[in-house]
Amino acid sequence: MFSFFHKFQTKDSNKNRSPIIPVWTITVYTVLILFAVIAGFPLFFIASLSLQSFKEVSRFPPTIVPHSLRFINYVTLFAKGPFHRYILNSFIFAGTLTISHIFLSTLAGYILAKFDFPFKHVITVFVLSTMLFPANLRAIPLYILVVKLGLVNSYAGLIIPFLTGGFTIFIMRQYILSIPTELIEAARADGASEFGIFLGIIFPLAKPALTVLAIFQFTLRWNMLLWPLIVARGDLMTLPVVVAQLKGTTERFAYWNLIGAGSMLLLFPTFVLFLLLQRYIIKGTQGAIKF
Amino acid sequence: MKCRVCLVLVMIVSLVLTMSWRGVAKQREFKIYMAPEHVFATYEEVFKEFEKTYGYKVRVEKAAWSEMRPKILADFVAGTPPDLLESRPGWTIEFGLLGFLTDLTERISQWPDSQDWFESALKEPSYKGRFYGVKIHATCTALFYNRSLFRKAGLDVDNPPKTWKEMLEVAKTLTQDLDGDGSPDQYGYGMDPILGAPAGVFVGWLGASGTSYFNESGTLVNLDTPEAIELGRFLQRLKKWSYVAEPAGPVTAVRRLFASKRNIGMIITGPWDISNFLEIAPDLDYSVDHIPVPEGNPWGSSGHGTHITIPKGTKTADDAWELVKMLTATEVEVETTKQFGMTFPRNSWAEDPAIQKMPLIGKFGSLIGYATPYFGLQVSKLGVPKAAGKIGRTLLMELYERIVYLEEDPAVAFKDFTQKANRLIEEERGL
Amino acid sequence: MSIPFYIRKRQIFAYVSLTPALVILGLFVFFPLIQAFMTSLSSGLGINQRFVGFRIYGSIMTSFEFWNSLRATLFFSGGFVSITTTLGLALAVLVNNKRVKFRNFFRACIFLPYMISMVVIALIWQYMLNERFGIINYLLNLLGFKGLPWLRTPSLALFSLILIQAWALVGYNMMLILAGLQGIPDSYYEAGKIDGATVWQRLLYITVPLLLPTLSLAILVSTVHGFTQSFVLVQVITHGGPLYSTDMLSYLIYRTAFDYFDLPRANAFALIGLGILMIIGIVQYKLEGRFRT
Repeated sequence: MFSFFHKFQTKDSNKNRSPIIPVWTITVYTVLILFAVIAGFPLFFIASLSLQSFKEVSRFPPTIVPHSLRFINYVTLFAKGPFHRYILNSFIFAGTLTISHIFLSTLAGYILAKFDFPFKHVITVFVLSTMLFPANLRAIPLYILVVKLGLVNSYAGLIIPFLTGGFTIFIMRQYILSIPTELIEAARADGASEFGIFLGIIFPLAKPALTVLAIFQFTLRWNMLLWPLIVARGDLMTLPVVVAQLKGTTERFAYWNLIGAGSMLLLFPTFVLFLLLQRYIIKGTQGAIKF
Repeated sequence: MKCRVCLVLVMIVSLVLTMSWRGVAKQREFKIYMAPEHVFATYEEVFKEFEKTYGYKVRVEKAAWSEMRPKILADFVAGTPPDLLESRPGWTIEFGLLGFLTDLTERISQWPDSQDWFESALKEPSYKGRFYGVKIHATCTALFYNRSLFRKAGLDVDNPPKTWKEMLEVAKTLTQDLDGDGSPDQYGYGMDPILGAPAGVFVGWLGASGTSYFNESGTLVNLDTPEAIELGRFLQRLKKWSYVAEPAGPVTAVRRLFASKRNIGMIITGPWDISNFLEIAPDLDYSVDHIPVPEGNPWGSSGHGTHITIPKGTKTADDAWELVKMLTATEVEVETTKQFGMTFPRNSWAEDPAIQKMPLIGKFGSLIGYATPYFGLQVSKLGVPKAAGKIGRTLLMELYERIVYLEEDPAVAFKDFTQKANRLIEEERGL
Repeated sequence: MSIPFYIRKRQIFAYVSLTPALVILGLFVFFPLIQAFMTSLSSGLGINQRFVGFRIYGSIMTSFEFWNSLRATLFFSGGFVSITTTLGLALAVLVNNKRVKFRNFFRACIFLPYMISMVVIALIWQYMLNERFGIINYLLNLLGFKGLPWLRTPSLALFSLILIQAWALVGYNMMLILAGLQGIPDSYYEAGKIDGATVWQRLLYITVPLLLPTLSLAILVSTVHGFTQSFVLVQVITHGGPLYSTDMLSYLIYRTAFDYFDLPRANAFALIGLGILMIIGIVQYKLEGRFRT
């Protein structure tokens, strides 16, 4: 089985070798810690905002460390409408799309990567170019389409236009390109069905890309604002739409503390998903033939 | 193995069920779009009454202005507009011109109450004699000054500057270096970024400067006037004694500094901040007065405040009109002011003793009378909605940047602005 | 000339498998694209639309705002793509190393910014880059440097936006490249080590070439992002200023569509942008094909 790539492997299993040059270790850790701090600090700021009072949060310059920890902000947030419903809606929207992308995009990416057929290049260019068109401008024509199909005010109308995308297909295609074709040929020689090959060989091997795709898609859809803003109304609203309402029109000072709480809430599921899935990114090459 | 198949089946079934779920309304729905902070409790009571009397289920969808635009555009284009729409003044003209709003001219002319509105307020939502909305809120920009800072600097607390000359002097006096580090810690004036909201303070100054906005025939924009240029020079001089907010900084920075850090003597803002300040700085000792004007000029300011409109293509126009009348009733307005500090465009409101008794709000009652509709709104009445939007936002922002941040010669800046604006207008007319 | 049955079977499988994706893409991406094109050839909104031909494109080609936005977009994309790709690659390699303790923690930290909504990121950074009260200048002052006017001068403003966007997406690129790294067999590195290659040589001659599909994906993804998604930062922080320095194409499209309700013009901008991206994409496609041999 494949072992992991050790970039700095100056020390191997031979115990007679001298230990790692410390300079490398220090540099590596410094860089990583530096980036972790740079990445993490604004998050700390958001968390701090979520715990401040309206008075504190309206101050300028903004306070970084809150004086009182008002966890009650989270409660106030929940009181502003059927929050459990909004969270459910966000889950349905993001979850369904993630799953559909995992299946449809991987299948399409596999075909584009490993198969030959007439018009392959044309189709590839067509599929990949769909990711270049900004979602913002699709919003209005799509909304008109949804209205015509009678799907307004339903989950179907919210979800169906985004069931797959050139983007995710591209990711899977690129990754599957690097899977050795010999594996597929061998399975075919063994008499496996095409769909069986897809499920049994490609899917497991593509785990790193699949995980990445799942995390990206879920986060993207979970945080998506423009489309749900236009299509989802009332009970169907998703979390980002509701949090955006808190911005107000700057006539009243924005409820920054509640926005902060909302943002922390928005962060939570995607973060948990990431923590759960991230190991699959590394594991991926299990089950492949070493040659 | 069997478990996995079961799991997949369960997923598929739940997916199908979810997809076929439809949001079914039990009663007739009445959709209202409003800005979040204008959905006052008093209005919600009116909605409840409306529900009972007319048999609807009222659903209020709140959206901040920046989110409201894509939402309402999609609705207009797809033919699913709300039954009632709160619209910013410039938007009313724009939507009316595009044919998305119901013409209310007959209804208003047959409504005796409409005579109670301030005349300019009544005419605001109209274009060439057709009325597309009713002005529900009326605000204007004014001078807010910190009385404690005035007192400490030895200035007359009840006599804020009235002319631009006085303003410069007062600002100079108030700008002090308190901790001796060479840079001022207290400022006379706070200069907003152009998109200081919701009004954009620059248009307030434009209103106060007394400049006309158009050429003689009223068909093109013209800010290349001696009054406007004088305003530019004045602002550049005022800058020396001001805290200048970053153009790309938070839009409410100056107002928040005024209330929390309290190191700014004077700012320009509107009555919306009365309730803001009450909430975050109840002990702030401040007052309001007219925006200073050039020597010898009458008072002037920029008027703001939203309209209520009825989109075209809904089947509820008559009932919606009833709701409009209910929402703008004087008692509702007075109660809203008492609880939430909003200001309104009706004479009966302004004359109500309860209103007159409120110190700062009462003052606004008299200030609003001197305000003229803000620059962007007036430009939109030229009949070119797209150009008006660009002129009122993008070009105005560029103008402000050049005058205040780059300190260019105002004569050049205003002339450039006029030329660019008119080019846009003519291009749109040509199309 | 008859095609063998087994190849035919495979082709049928290919077409059948592609059908759902093609239907969805065709109906929900391509069809709106055609509609967008038709809209760009007309004037007026909704029921008032009428056909006017390519007039809008002519007006665009002679407008300052269009060429300015191209300039801003190219600068932004160029800077953004190079920074995120190199940093992403470096971090992915570092974080991939089994020897580094707490890699999971570092990975999670660095990826975190991507999960925050762009609007909130914009607002937070607006504070942090404030010239007088922001924390970045505060830290610079502590270290003895003078604070910079991050968002006030035209040149710095665009650069600041690049920094913020890069901050938000480095983790994303890192994860993308990390996944790609998994596909490189260890045997190549072992062979390289046996041949006496140093760490840098292994990186340059083994990792990067084998990573080409993933790298080209990362580059294309970042470019697309820079062209289409970057408008949030502009909309929230700079509004296109100071002096149109940050008026990128994506923001131009957004404000033309939703601030001015000028759908024909906005769609025209988007289609031109799409054209440019397609050219970039096709160039990359060709280059990738040539590299792979």
